Amino acid sequence: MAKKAKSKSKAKSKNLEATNPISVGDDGPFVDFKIPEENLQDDIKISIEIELLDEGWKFDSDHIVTIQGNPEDLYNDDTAPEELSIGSGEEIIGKKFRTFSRIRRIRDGAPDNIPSRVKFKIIFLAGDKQIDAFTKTCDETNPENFITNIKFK
Amino acid sequence: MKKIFALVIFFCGVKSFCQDPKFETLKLTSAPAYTVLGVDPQNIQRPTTPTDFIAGAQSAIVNGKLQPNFAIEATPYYWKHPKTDSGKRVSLYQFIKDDNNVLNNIAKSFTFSFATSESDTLTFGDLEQGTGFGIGFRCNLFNGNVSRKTLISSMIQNKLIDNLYQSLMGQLQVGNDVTVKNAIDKWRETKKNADPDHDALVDFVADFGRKDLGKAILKESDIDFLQQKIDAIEDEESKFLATLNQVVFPLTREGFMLEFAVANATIIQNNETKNIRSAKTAIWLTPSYRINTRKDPTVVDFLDFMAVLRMTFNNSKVDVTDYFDIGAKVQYTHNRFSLSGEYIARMLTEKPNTVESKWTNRLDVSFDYKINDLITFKATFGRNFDGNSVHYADTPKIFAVGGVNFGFGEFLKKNN
Repeated sequence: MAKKAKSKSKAKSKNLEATNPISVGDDGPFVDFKIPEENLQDDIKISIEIELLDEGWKFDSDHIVTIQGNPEDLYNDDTAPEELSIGSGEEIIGKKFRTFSRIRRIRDGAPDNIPSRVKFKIIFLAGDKQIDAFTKTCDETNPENFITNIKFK
Repeated sequence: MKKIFALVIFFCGVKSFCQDPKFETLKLTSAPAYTVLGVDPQNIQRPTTPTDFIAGAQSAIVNGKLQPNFAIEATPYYWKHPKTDSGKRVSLYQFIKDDNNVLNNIAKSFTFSFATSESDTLTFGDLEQGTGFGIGFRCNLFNGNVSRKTLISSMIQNKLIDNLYQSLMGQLQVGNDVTVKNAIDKWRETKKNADPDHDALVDFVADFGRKDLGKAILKESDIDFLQQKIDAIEDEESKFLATLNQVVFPLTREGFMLEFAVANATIIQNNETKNIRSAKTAIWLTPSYRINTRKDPTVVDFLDFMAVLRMTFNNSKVDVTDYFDIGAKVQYTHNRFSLSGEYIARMLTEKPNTVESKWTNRLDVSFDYKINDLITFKATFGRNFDGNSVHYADTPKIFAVGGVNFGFGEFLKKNN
């Protein structure tokens, strides 16, 4: 289980679906992610896509990707990672993996100051083939964190 | 209601008087290649990689012949720095950093455009029929100043602190212990990007973080301690954003702005490559100055002073003279209401015998009111060009033009 910090005011986390590893707001539990046997030799990659669902808004973002056993961030940038390699299937089995994305919506002509909803999508690939994808949408809370917690099996 | 309807009908009825150039058409509201070619393409390809660009360009040629009704527009800077995330992402730091760096402004805004069309007599005059194409580019030399620089600078510092703490939190959550000095030094190297201002800020945040945390090592048991630090930073960031977003367009610029553009329209007469002729070349220089007169952050209140200089060099079969246009416009915008006045003068470099003067001008006042997100009422009153060019009337004419614009495109996009 991810350690849920005693956040002073945040009641933002939503209930997770059984297999959806994305939580909104704070860290959720680490969800098992089984790498298909046929992909154990493949390079496992992730891509993240951010989509604003309402017109009249732009956003600024941060994306951090971390894996157990590596004291450096795999990725830390403003732009979303695209086909970021996180290691071969065999190498990452048994490791905890976390992505953190913070999305700050900035008004760009919207008639009302109600921040756009954000659709967050994380895609897992083995080589060039997609093996899974998860999405989560947040409400108007601004900024908002999308955190993916996974334990590879 | 009946009166409004009658007014709209009246305005629409007299619209035929307004076929002459207006300030907006001189000001380059679309890509220069489309303007010089006299087209308004609806389907424009916007490649984001060199490969997409080459593929798009190739699709304009079928069986060795250039096809009409093709349009492409590309900003090469973003091929290197792709516009990820649906094209809606903005880097606050880059937004601030753009200030007063002319070369940076040019590199980022250099936009190439290309379009093709069937030939017509307005653009290509007496040149032989064929396929026309326009090619042009535009760039911003000066971008003005950021309106809310202090607030956005505070947000950028706050964002970096949050990024540092979330980087450490990521390590703790996946089960890695954190040696604070090493982790912060690694973070510092990751975030530096050879921009002295940015790197100085990274150093400041790294030093702040080390002092603020006050621990040599962080372990899983320190997650709550670190989360409290993060909560404080993120709560402050929420307040910054709430303040920034009180304004409809918080990422606006004010002050002096200057745009440069050049474009050429060429025709392949009879679609024979040996019969390629340049029809016209135009150069634009568009200075403007914006004053944000807002007192209340929830109110849109701008005063814009704009000018445009345009030189058009014509092939003698298009027109016997070249044109020099000079225009000025003052516009006041207050929420949904906008009032503007504009003056445009055109000089013919060689006065034909058939016209009275080498100068002509146009003066008008426009009023726009955005009734709602879909409907905008527009009205223009003024005096038109007084005949010294083949395109203009021979005597000065007072005109009144009006109408209602319906934004169904945005409506459909919003509801699908």
